[in-house]
Amino acid sequence: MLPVSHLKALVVEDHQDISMLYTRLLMGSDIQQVNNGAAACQALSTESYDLVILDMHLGAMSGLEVLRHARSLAQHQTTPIVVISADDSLRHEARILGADCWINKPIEIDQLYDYLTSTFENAHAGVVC
Amino acid sequence: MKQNIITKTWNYLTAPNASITDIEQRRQSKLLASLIVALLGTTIIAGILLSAQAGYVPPTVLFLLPGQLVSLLMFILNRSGRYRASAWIFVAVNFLLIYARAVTSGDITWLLFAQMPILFSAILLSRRVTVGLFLTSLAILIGLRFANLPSVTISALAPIIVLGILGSLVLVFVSHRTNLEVERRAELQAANTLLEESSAKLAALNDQLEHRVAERTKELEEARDRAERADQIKSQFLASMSHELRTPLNAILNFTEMISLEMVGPVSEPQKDLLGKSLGSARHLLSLINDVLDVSKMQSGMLSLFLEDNIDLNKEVDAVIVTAESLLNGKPITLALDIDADLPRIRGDSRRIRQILLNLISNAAKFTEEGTITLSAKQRSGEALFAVIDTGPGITLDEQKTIFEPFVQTESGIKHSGGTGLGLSISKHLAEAHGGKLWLESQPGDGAAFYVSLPIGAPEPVKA
Repeated sequence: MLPVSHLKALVVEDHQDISMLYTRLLMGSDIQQVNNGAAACQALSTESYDLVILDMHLGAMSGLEVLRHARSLAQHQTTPIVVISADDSLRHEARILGADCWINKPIEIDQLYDYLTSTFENAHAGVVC
Repeated sequence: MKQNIITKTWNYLTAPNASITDIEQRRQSKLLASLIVALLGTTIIAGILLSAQAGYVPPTVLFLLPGQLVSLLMFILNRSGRYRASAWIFVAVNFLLIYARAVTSGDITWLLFAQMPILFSAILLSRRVTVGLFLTSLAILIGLRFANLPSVTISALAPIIVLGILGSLVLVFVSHRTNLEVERRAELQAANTLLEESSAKLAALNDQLEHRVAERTKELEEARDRAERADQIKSQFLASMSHELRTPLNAILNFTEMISLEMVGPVSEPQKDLLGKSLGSARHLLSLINDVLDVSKMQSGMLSLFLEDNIDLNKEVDAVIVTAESLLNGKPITLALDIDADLPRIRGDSRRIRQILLNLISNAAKFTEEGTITLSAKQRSGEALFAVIDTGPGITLDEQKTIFEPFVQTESGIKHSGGTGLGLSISKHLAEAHGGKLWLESQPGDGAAFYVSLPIGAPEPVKA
């Protein structure tokens, strides 16, 4: 089960089922869902979050642009951003733009939970993502 | 060219020596020979006519004899190839004889011949010599005018003879020059025509060639553009396929997993069993889709590695072993391990390295009914060497030749009907993208061994 609770999280995912899957996996957290890049940027600009779950293929505005925008905002310099994508070719660029964790689709639930544990229970456990 | 007997004889008599190669000198030599023949002929006829008229051989005719002899000598000298010498002597002897005769006989008529050596010189020698000769002749004539010569006697026949001799000589000269001119003009014209024709042909050919090159270039450019467009469309298609196919499958996998993990409520054992089978099939389908996408990317040169430094190979091998157990499908197969405890850390794509090893183990498990699959991992000089060795049926030599080609499956592979026949070609490609190698050794009937070597100091990303 989810190793941490009471997180304020933003889920950016254009596919409704997948978005719901993440909500389920993060059950117990305060979750805001958006399904496109523009809405994600809007949310990031106005709110602060403990965690961002970010898809790469979002239609008009890509996940990479959302990532770039997030890291340009003062309140999101260190916010943990987890990219969950099936497109391996973006992995390198995502890391350069400041993604903290890359998880390949389909996600291994343990991989996500391990990351959350290390990030929120022991900030320096250093799980390689 | 048709030649009558006179022309033939004439040509035979006047042909220049073969040793003279310069074309101009050959013509001059022929001219000299012609002049001598003409002169000999006319003087002989003149001698006979004079003798017949007088009823005896007059002193003039006798006087001509040495000149004729010298001319004959010159003729022979010229024919033997010494054209210049004979031309000089010919002019000189003529000059001397004429003036000598004029002075000794006191017959001024002889001076009519004074123009002969000048004419010869003009034809045979240089202009400078001719001018010199002319001035000398002038001086001598002026000298003679003031000299006290005996009274003059003019033979009635003499002017005619002079006219005849001079006329024939001039004719020889003129005809020679005309022939020469005509010949040259014809040659020039022929050469010119030939040149014009060939340059016209050349120009036409060139035009044709240029046209064809331009045409081909255009065709090639179009083909290239088409190929590039097709490639782009294919890439876009691949990218969207990769997303569209996997998104619903990911949802199926993760939701099934959540249910199976009782995250949404209790699940009975028989339900868990079925959910497990469902998960297995979904994972299998995902790996098939991934293989097809990998091969497509590979073929369009778009398969890239996510390279990281310090990949811990022992950790990766451990992860592979955990998954490998599930690949044995409950067959009576032992998974034997021969792993060095201190495998090197390398630069590479950890997910792809696991993919290679799992593909080899899954192939071995597919074809081996019972026995052992050995996974070994060693450090060799400068590289990590992996081996997956099975006790299965082995691979025939024919099959070994095509086994790494995409879409190729061995006969037993088709019989086992699992997989796409893409795994090995992807694995080989991935090993090579790491700067490494993948190869096999197998005796039919005696198992197969697949080896993968990955360099420790991997070069900068090889384009996968």
